[in-house]
Amino acid sequence: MSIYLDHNATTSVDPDVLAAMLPFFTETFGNPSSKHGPGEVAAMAVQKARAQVQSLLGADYPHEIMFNSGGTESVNSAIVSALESAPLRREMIISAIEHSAVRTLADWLAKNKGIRVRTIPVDKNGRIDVVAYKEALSERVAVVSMMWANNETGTILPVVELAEMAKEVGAVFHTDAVQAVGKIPIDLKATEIDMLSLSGHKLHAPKGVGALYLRKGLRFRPQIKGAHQERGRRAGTENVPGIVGLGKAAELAGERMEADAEYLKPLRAKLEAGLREIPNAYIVAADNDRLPNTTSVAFDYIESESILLLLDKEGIAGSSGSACSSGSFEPSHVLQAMSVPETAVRGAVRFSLSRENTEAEINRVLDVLPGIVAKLREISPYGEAGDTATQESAYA
Amino acid sequence: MWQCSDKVQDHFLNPRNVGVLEQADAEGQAGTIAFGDALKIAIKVDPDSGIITDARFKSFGCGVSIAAASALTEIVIGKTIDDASAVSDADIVDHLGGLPDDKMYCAVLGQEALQTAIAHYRGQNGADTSESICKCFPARKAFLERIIRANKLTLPSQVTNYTKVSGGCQSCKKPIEALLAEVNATMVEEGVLAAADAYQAPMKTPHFMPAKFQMNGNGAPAKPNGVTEANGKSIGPGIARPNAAPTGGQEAQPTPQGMAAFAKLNPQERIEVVSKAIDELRPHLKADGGDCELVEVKENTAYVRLTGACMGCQMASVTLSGVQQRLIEKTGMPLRVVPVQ
Repeated sequence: MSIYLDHNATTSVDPDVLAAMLPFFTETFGNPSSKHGPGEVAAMAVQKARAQVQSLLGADYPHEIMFNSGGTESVNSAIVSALESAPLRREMIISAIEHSAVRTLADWLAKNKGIRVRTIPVDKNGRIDVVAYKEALSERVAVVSMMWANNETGTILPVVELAEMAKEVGAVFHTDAVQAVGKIPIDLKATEIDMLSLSGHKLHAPKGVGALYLRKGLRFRPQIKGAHQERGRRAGTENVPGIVGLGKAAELAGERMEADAEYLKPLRAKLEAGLREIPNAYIVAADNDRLPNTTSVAFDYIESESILLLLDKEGIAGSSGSACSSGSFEPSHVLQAMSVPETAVRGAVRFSLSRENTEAEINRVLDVLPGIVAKLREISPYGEAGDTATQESAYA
Repeated sequence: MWQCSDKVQDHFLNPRNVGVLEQADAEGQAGTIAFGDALKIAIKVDPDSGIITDARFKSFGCGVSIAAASALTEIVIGKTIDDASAVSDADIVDHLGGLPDDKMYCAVLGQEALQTAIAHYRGQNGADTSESICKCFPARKAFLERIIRANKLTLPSQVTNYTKVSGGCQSCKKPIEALLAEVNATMVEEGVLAAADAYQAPMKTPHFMPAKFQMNGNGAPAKPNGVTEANGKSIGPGIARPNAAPTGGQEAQPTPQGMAAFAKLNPQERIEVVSKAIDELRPHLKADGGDCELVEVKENTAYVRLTGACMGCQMASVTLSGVQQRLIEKTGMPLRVVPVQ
């Protein structure tokens, strides 16, 4: 039995999504730019998908949706475009818990383009420091990029309000909503958000397709130059099957979102109640608004990779922080930003659920996890009586 | 992990000799929670024969880290203290049937802990007081040198895999590259490393260095006409700070095409062109600890603000005329650069 609890890393392609995509590989393979019948069929399919994504996001116009290859491309093109459009504004603002896609880009811009990057801290519940944000906002700021929901902890940022504040100084507001789209309601037309990035494979569409929302009238500098696809904003022949899949997945997400959230709420509550029974285990940002599917739990005195390996041995797939940051020896910047203490910051495990998970699976996790934690603590040199260095865990 | 050898998996799933040793003769520790891996090892030594009769460990870390610690206890039990002191990280790797590249630090940690235990047994103080190079992970120069030599490391990524150094914020990337190149060079001299394998730190080669500042034949930077900083420090290599009174080379002149193109631009486009050209210059200003910010473009005048080290620098006017030269060269447009406060 395999239990997949890593849906923030990626999701399976929904069977209905796959069924919608399949004809576009073989039967109706036309190029949407072609003026003949097959081309027109493909163009209409792309148009339909655009409307489906538009509807999920609550955007005013279908052409505000620009398809691309996924979250990272979206984020890159959005932020770089915003900076290029306002060359006299040399600052940008991000939160301390952004995904590497934003963080690494911001570092690069600071180093190579002389952009001053202001990073706004969060408290231990993942709440953004609004006072610091207001102080950082000025007419020197070209773009603000704040994630809608955090990938590691599920915490939700008040992007609607943050966008309104950015508007007051004329800064473009971009949000990385890769984790939020399809999980919580979004109604862009009622907000001041200028740009929004999303990725298909986080909502049961395939990998390699995503979209960028660009508010009508916003100045956009294309980052991929070439032919006139996507209204000249993103050149390259459209990934028609992927786009069709993203459209279908968006439609399904819209239909199921409320029921999914209702289904996931008690499931996650059960999981977290069980996790709290384990000594020296802390649910990260438990008191904040969070995505209904995400739990991040930090264990004192043990290391997350060994926990994950032993879970994997039991057929349970979880994650330590973000799958994207593996390869670095640094502990998660998100958990550090949320002041998870040193004793537990390397012992965090993320469980991210979906409608595919069952109560039996959660029970199974709660059956094996306490034993795994106990076994590793037996091996660990920390947390023993008399071990003064780790006597008190600062987390409360 | 599941691609690791069966032996690694077995040592992780069924670690040997876990625990504390009552009445241990010596204890050693390496790593910390902050480092991300930590190992404590305790040994019992027969006073007559000097043979290690028992060893126990406690480990905080990833699966391979636990497996390496377990393997280490197996290796040292039955060895004399002298033999044990010769156990290297490579021996731990061999005992486990190999380790993934990015897990080598686990074996290094094992050897470090063993060495401190042995030093403790011998009543020595093994504390390494040489300079630490990495901010994120403790890394003494002498320790790094030893690991580079012992494992014949020739790539910065290997140094990171063996020690985690430079595996965090990466601000120590350059000193590590320099150290690796230095140690490799010595190893080549000693004949323990082929010259072709030795690591060479990447040379900084700005793409618009005026000819007179370029490297001379033997790779040393040619001094730019004896120009020195206000404090008398010579200007380093690769910093293209144009001389106030250029003695050689042609001054860039606006081209007719550039002038025609410029005339057609609207104010917004002019800002973009100038801003882009300044962006291209920026890395070189940054190399000096300075920066240049575009404030406004009016007609053919770019108003800029020099910041950082450029601010108040006696060479500021020189830098500015350099910036103007570069902008003209880049854009072919008749631009004037004027500083604002």
